[in-house]
Amino acid sequence: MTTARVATNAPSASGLPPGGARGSGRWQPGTDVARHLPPDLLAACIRCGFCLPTCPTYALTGREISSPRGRIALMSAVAAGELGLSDTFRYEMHFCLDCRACETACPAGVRYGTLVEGARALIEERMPSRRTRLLLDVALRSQRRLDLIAAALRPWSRSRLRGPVRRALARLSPGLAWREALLPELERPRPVSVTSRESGGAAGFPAARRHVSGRARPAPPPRMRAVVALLEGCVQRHTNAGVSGDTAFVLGTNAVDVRVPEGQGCCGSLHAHAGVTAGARELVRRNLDAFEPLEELDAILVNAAGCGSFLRHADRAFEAADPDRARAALLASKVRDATEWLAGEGWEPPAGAVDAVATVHDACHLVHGQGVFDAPRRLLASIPGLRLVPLPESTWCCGSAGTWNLTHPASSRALLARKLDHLEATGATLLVTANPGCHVQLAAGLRARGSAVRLVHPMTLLAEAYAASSATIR
Amino acid sequence: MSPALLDDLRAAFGARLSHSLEERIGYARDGTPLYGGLPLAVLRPDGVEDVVRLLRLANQRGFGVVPRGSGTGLSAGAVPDERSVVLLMGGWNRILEIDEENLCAWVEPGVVTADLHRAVESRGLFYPPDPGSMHVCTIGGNVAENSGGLRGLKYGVTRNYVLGVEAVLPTGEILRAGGKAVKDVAGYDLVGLVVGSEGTLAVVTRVLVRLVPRPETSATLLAFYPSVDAAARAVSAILSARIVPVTLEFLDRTTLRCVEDHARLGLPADAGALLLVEVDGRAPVVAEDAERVEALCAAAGATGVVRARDEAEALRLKTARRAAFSSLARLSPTTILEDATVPRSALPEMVAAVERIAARHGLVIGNVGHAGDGNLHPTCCIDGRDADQVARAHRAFEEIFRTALDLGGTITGEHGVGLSKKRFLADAIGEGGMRWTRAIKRALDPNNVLNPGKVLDLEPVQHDRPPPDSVPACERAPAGVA
Repeated sequence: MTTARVATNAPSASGLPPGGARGSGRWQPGTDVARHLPPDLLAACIRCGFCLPTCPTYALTGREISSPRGRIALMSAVAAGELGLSDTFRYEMHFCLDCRACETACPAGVRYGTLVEGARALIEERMPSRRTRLLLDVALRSQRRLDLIAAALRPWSRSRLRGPVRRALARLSPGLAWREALLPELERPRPVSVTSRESGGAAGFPAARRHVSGRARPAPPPRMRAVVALLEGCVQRHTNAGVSGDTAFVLGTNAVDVRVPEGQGCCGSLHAHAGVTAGARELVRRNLDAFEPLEELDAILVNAAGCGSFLRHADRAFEAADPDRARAALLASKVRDATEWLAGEGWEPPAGAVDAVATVHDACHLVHGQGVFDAPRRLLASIPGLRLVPLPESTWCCGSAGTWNLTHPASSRALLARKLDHLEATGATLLVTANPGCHVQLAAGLRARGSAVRLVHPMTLLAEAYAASSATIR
Repeated sequence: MSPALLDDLRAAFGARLSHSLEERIGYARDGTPLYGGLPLAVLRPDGVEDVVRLLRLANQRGFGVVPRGSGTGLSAGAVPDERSVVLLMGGWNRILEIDEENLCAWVEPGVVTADLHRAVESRGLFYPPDPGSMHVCTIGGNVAENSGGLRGLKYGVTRNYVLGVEAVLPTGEILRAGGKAVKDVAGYDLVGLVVGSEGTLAVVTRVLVRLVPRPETSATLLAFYPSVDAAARAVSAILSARIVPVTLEFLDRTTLRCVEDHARLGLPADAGALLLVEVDGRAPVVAEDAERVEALCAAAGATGVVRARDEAEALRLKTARRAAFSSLARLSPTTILEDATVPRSALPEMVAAVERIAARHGLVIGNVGHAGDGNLHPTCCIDGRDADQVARAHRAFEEIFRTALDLGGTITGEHGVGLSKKRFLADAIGEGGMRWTRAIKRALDPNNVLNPGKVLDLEPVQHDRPPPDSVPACERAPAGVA
């Protein structure tokens, strides 16, 4: 009874007996499947299992198919025609956070993120989800429409009625109450003041900052050393409106010429994560138009990790034959996270002190998606008075994951609780993170716990330190 | 599977049994390349009763049971077939007791090895076995495979750290063997029989592990050599100087480059071989040993010897070594990792033989291994979709195993026989060894239900069994859980 089947670990012969697909119906994968799930990428997984202890969804369920290794096994079976796009397959592909922690852990260099997004694109192509499309297309395709939606929601987001209404809602549907609680206090987008060659210094920073006055401006540096363009982040404009201004201020202080191109909009990352490749492509094209001429830019800086992680590979949204692919590749090659770029180029340590204990939550798409771990810590370590303490499991997903917190309320809450428990154990008063998705999620968690911990972007903290120093120097 | 059997399994286990195609695909393979099989179903047992019930049912109905931890094994020991139910033990992951006075701990089989390390080290204790996959693999799997690791040279392997087990035998009976008494020679060594039995003789449900005091400190060194041969000379020099390092690992050029590509440690890519040496113990001894090792390494012709600056750097180096196998996967889609092992003194000869064999078959075979144990990991990088490459790899490994046996070694140092080395077992242990192995398996598992087909093939049992209902009560397996 024991002849083990011998087969390769390649998708074309995944070792499953011929009758294995009975029950869910054999299906014809067709040639397009290889486009979404490239055989070489699938075959790169050697199933060593090093990804398992880093996978938050595997930690939640303990099921192999909720792990990267198991999901790749499912994808391989789909690619081999042994499994159809079953309910469980579709669920698991979307239950994945796409946090890429497994990519950091993977010694074999498996491009898991590409695979899971490929699987989602395959699903989206064969069985389009109207809900996904609605969410992405209505809200994100046009910056104007997003601004209008945010403006409409703003009064409610700041209303005192939210608490009582949510409590009533919780009795009807905990999931709905959770989603309501996620809505951050929306801010009015602020125009980002930019530096220019002529002015030669930080032309301004958000006047609304508590302890920053318009006069407290650092001395103009001798000359501009680089020209960069800044991507504002379409949602971040409303949820953390000061970040881009702070980033521009920090860069300007360090003699960087910052441009904020008109006409920029959503980068397309959420579309790509959801497998809506055409939508992602369209948004990349729009930003290409906005950021041209690319040759004039030394870098395109992003202060939202999710956007940066996607844009660094923006060309992957294009078919090989697409005439825009080369431009997208050029754009991608210039994209850097603002913290990584500044830490790499060198910066003037601020003289102003921030007396606090801070800890860093690494956004998945910064640490795993872009391999940036040291840069924000090095920048923060240069702030006098700031004490940095390590956050256990700092590189674990907080449960935000794009729209995952909306689609998986219970699991998202569990991951958030795990994160906040670790945070509380550190005793930090500042929680530093560099991604709007994490920001919204963590803010909701801190609000719900009545926590006094302040959530802040590293660039904002740095801006405050510079502003404090110029105020004292003045 | 017959619908009736599935119905009976469902009736017995409810939602704990899964028969979905997706779950079965998830447990079709382990860490071994080229092996896979879709199981009948998957069971997450709730307690020992479930394990007993499953095994009784297996005996009555004639299906196999394949126990599984995290599925990181490298001999296809956890790979099921279409007539087997996968028994998932990973959910049983509690550390039940840490007995500081008797230096031991009761743990469930699903405890991840590194989690046990952390738990005991926080109390100044130490559980030495540390397989390469220690952050993933489980104690139950380690016991089944008698796993080794990087610290084997000084501290030995899993076998040396199991004081007792609770297990379910293939017939559904409960076995309790061993205990906290350090000396215990009452009867045969049943604990020893279970350790390394590759899930073919018992399902381990609890393990009593031996702990030792945590070493006060340690020092880690790296030495680079122009050739594997020079590195092997350094190994001999260190051991001849009566120094027993915890870890004495070597990596050849191919492996070194892949590790560097993954871990970016700044290792020189042009080195022909690297030695990773760790000594531990009391601070003055460690300092002295580290200096002597440094001198011996240099004298053996090292192009450079560096000491890890701090614990964090030492940890990074060791972590990178653990990832060597998977890092080699960067070279090609399929990575076959073997563990031919020879007496230490024969290591240079073995390494040279592997290089000759690789060249003869036109293959890339990276060499990495526990130099101090003579435990080599020749790692072959091929594309498993190419039948010709697979055939050449099989021929090459056959030659490698024969060479290891000729040199007085063995076909597997720590991965086990499983499916992948079954055909070489008779050469390693002889006809006598095979006869006794078969006799033991037959005695404990008369119907060949537990991990069938692993380690050895049995001639089919002549089942002449009447339907279970007609078996007189006195002939049935003993009732109740002991």
